[in-house]
Amino acid sequence: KYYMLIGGLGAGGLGVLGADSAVMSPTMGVIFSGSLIVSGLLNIAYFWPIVYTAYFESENRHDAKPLLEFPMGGKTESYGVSVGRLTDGGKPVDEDGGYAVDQYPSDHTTDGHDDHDHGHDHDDHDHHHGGPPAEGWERRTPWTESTWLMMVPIGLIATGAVVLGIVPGQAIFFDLVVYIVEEVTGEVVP
Amino acid sequence: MSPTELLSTVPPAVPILLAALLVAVVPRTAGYVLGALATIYLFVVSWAVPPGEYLSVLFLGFDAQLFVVDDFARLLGLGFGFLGTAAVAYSASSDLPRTTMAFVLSYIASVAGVIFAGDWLTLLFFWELMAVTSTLVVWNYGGDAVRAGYRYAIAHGIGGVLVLWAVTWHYVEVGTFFIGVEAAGIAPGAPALLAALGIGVNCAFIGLHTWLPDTYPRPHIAASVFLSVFTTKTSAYVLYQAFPEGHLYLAYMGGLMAVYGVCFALLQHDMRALLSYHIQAQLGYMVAGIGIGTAIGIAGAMAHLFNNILYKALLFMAVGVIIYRTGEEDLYELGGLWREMPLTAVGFLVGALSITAVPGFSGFISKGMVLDAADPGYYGAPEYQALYWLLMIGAVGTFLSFIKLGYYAFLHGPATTSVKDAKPGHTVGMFSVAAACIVLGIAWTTFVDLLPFSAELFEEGQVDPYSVGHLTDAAILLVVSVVLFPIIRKPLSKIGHVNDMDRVLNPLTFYTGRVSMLAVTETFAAVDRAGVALVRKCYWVGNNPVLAVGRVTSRLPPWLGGTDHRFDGGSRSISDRRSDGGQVAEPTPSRLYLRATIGGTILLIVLALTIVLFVLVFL
Repeated sequence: KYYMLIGGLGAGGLGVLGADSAVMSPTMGVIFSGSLIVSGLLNIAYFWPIVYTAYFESENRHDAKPLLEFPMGGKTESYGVSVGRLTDGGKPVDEDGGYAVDQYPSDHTTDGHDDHDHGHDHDDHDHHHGGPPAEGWERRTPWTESTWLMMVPIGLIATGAVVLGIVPGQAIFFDLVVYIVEEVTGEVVP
Repeated sequence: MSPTELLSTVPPAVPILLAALLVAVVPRTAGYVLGALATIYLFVVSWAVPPGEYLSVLFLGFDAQLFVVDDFARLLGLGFGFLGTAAVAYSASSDLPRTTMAFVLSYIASVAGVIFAGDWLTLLFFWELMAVTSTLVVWNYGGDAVRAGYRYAIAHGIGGVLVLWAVTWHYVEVGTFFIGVEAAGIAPGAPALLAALGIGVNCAFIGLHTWLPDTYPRPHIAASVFLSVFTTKTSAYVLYQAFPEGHLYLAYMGGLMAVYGVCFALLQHDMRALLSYHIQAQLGYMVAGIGIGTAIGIAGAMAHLFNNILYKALLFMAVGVIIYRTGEEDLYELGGLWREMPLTAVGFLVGALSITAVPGFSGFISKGMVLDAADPGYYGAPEYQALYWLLMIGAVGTFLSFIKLGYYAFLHGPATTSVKDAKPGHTVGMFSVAAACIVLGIAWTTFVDLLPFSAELFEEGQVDPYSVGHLTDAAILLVVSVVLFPIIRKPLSKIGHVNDMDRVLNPLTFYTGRVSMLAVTETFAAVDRAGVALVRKCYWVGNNPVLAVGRVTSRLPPWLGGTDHRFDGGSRSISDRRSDGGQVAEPTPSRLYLRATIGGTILLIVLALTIVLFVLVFL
């Protein structure tokens, strides 16, 4: 994003960088970089509620987030309760204990989903409506959080993202990008 | 390798970050000791490492200087290191959870990164990290703090992206990220405006300040102590780096902040909200000094910044102990606590005397310098006459609100509850900071020596806090305030909650977000519908070519398509009866008769060829 921001402004002919690389009007350069700026802000607005719901709100005190729906300040119940649907688009449990999808199999198209739902049903026997269980989530140590087949790939990708972010000059990937840019455009990346 | 050289190879952010990681896993006491050691390291490095540039590396793909020591960074590092250690001791007695302490230390590490950064890119990197880590400190308390923390994150996100834009634009304008190279501060024009707004969010400029009194009263009492110190003070220093030559508008923004902050502080019931508005007011003095831009103005601003680190934290500590012991946040529910909590009362008194700039305490020296820098009677330019009066009104307001806070908490009536006084960690934290406030006020020449431009100030004899004129001014302020307080006390206590700008700004942000998001998603949905409809049509045409051609030809004018065909139509049904004798429900063509005239055929072929030619030649 740094490079795109700088490139966008420079392509608009601004400053010493844009002195010999202008390909569009300054207004376009500002709009170009401005949209990246707005997207950076929207990342916070959209993604951070996921983080704070997952890690900082408690099981008995969380809310449906007021981004597109719900009044300002949120609604102190789970999203699933508020809209009457589960996050995968399925319907919550009936009062008599059966799944709505069992009565209307066409609601669910894949068998895999159905199996998953049944498995879920056996795990916690009370019928909570999309929110966390009443007695709270099971607490686990980082070492037993999940299977290593999941944790290792996640860990590797996360580490890679940080490494590429902080020392791109030492990671080969960035050299490749610089090489391609020079070969294609003849411009030297600063 | 000498010890100083060794110190200069490890920037303070690194050990503090390590301590943050360790605090989360080692036993509590050991973790707090590690935290204290890490902040002591910050102090020692700031004290011992001589000015210079260390650790020039390739960072994020650009040339960067991670560790630059100058008079300013040293001053801030000393203040943050000292206060950090005292506050860790305070937290140890305040039942601050280990995870919060880990977040606090990572927050301090990012602050250390900001103040020692030698280029805008490194500064920005740690600036954003500071926003993230401080949000985590708030969130970790749970409850109401979570949503307030999200509003805090949005505010700092806006500030952060504005600074990001300013910094990249600055780079495009001047061709380097290094601070002070090619341009003093941030490049003028759009980058300067963006920087002023972005840094203004963190500096609590009026209109951009709502996050401050919203967030700081909500988290853990010890977390509030840390928060009250780092973000705003660091940002005031960054404001100086962006505008080293000052600006008239900045100076007046500072003056208005001083007045606005104390007015709202006077109206607060919640003790930490009152102190939070005072952060804005005190930042006003710093922003004013930076805006004036003279040597004494900047030195005064930095001195005030340093003192504010100490006494504002001290006040938050004292108020925190009251909340810790009584569980009460509302000022009007307290009273007579000086008998119950004499240690806390002493700590509060020193903090209050410092912030109100009573002679003998640290605030008197620095606030005096800023006032002198504005006062045309001393070293101010004539255009700062009004600013001087704004700052004086702010000073009276500060007196009034701390008389109010002290009166209702410690004096007013008998104590309603019997509570214990501060714990040992609280006392150590408060009294070490209180001692610093007094020492700096008395041994003021040593203090001024630490400031930037100190040689120049001494040479021209611009700092003389205990002159007759200054002492008279202080006495007048005190008398005015002591006379005013009894008059306004009753009416003030009758005023309920007064809405700040958040009443308007929060819904505005919220609905701007919702409307723009709906607009984007609805536009996208419309494009999606149109695309899907087109693909459906194409599929239908592929499956029913005969019908498709029939529909098209049925719309052709008769002279083009021949004589004998409308739809139902396109099929020339001899009768409307099916072969089995039944009625045709909806006539569907089984055969298609396309008979164009010879002229029409040629016209169509020529048209098609023309289009092909057109496409080939021009695209």
